[in-house]
Order: sequence, then structure tokens, then C-alpha cells
Amino acid sequence: MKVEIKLFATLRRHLPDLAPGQGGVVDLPAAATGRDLLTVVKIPEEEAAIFLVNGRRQELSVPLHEGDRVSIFPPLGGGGATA
Amino acid sequence: MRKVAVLAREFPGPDGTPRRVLAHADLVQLAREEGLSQKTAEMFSLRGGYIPLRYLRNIGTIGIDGQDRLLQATVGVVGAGGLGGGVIELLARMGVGRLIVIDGDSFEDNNLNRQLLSREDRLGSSKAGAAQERVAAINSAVEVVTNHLWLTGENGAALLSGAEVVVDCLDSLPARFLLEGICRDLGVPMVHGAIGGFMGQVMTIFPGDEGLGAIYGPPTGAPERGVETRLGNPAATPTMVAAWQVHEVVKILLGKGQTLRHRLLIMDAESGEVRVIGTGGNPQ
Repeated sequence: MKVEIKLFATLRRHLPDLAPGQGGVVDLPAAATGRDLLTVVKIPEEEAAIFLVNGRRQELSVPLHEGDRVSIFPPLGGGGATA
Repeated sequence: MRKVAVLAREFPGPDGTPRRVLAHADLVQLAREEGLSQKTAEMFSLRGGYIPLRYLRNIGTIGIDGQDRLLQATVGVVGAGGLGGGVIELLARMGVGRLIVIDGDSFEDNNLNRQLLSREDRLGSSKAGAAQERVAAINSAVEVVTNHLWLTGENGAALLSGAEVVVDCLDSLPARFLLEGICRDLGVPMVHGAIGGFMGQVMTIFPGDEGLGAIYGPPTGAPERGVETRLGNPAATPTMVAAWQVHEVVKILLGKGQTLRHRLLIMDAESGEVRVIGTGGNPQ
């Protein structure tokens, strides 16, 4: 099955041929999960802070479906001052 | 009140309708003659239906009562760096009457690209002190309580006591979780903001909400920092997020609009995409 994937900020390096905001298509075995997708595109789990399927947050253990649109955002921590 | 009426004049609002206003210089004179603080003089003026002219462009959005309410409010700003510098500037211009600023840091060269309070002539000096100086120059009605020290689990509740909303302008995840816990104990909402590269995010967290855990996972497993370690923070990113944080503060204080409670706003200037993502719970 094919899912569309969009990566943001530092995660873009995992699909370097795509322009910012451009989605890529990843071919996965049927019933593959979000975690399987991360393995295929070589994104460590801790770098996938926000994992969206069709615009909604989803657990990595949930199976994906043909045509799903996945967006993955890394963690942000900057701001200016440390306590 | 008679003096207010004498000093007041008509001035066209943004739509051309005449409004009864008081110039800043007249309010300074009134405060001096009556022995009032600048803040009290402004609140006195507003309660008589006279708009301090400096707030004229606020009034259409928040109303005279809203402006009065902001002047009475106390907001905590933890961090006076990239996010904090923008947040403090905008809260002062909105006319939020009392700011508690906490930052133990001093300015360094690498702050100059993005931290609005930093200046070449302030390198090596206190960020909290710079906040006080800046606010005094912008709006003398705003009181600033400065704390040139780091927030800790021990001092947090005492330092932030009296704050009705706290703004998270920190830069490490452990510090954010610490602040979230302090706000939960104090029973006050916290407006979270974080940045990295072209990206920023904002979420409003009320006591009892899942909060930061919904973004970063449980505090024990959360990374210490995020993509900013690789991408840095270019000049415009903190201000992009600080502006949204200030709108959240104003909405919380005035009970207006829809806050970003249980919703994470992600702005990515690089791709030109903005998302609002539900994080569980009931959006407000």
C-alpha cells in the first residue's frame, strides 16, 4: 500500500529530494503501522514528536491504510532561557 | 473625575467615530497632581469612560472594560530571552498592569540576532533588568517585578504567587515540565511556546490538562532539547511565537475567543504550513 508522508524541519533530511511542504509517497506492506513507516524512512522514534495521520494524532502502533496522509514533526524546545 | 473631564478631548477612533480620550502627558499630570500611580490614573480614566489615547487601538478589540481588566492583571513571564523579550514587550504595550519576570541569565553576543531585549551596550548585563528598563520606557503604568535568578522547584511558587497566567518562555524541556508543575500547584494556566529553526508551537495548558506530556511524552522519557540544537533560532521565529502567546494571555484574562487549550498550534515558515492539532480533552 502507498501512504503520503510529509516531514518537517530536521526530519526533512530523511527524504532529501522533497521540497519543504512537499509530500512523498512511501510503499509499505499491507497493515504496516506508523512504527513500521518510521523504520522504512529511518526516523528514530524519539524524533517523531508529533505523528499525524490524516490530520489527527495517532499512536505509532496503529495500522496505516492505503492513501493515508502522514505528517511528522520533530520536538521543539527552544525559547531563550533555562531554569 | 472633574479633572479627567477637563483634560479629556475628542479624538477620532479607527473608524472615525469621535472618542473621549486622554493624552499620555495629561495622564502623567493627573497622576502627579492627585498623587496616583500612572496605572491608577489610567484605570480611573477608563472607569469614567475616557480612553487613555495610548490604548485607543486596543479598545475596538478588548473594550474599555477589557483594558481596565488588563491593567489590573498580573502575568508571570519565565524567561526573558527570545520568546520572553517579545512577550514582555507586547504585554507592556497591551497594558497588562503587572509583570513578574524571572530569568537568571545575562546577555551574550549570540542573543543579538533574535532577543529583542538584547543590545550591544547590554552584553554581560541582566536580562531581567533589561526587561524592567524596557517596560519603563514603553509603558510607565506597568509594574515589573524582576527576579534575576533561575526558577526552581523550591522558589517557583513564591516567585509566581499572584500571577493569573504564566507564560513559558524557557528553552529546555526539563525546565518547562518544572514550570508546568508549579503552575498546576498554583492553579493557574500556562501558555507554552517553543521554537526551533523556521518552526514554532503554542499551546495553552490549564491545571489538570495533559499538557506538555501530550507533545513530548512523559517528562522522564522526554528529550532535554529539540531541533533548535541543530537548526538554531533565526531572528523572526521567537517573535512569531511570542505574538501568539500574548494573544493567548489576553484571551484567558478577558475570557474572549477560543484559547489553544488541548490544541497545539504548529507554525512552519519553511513549508508555509500552519496546523492546529487536537491533543485530547475538550477544546475550549
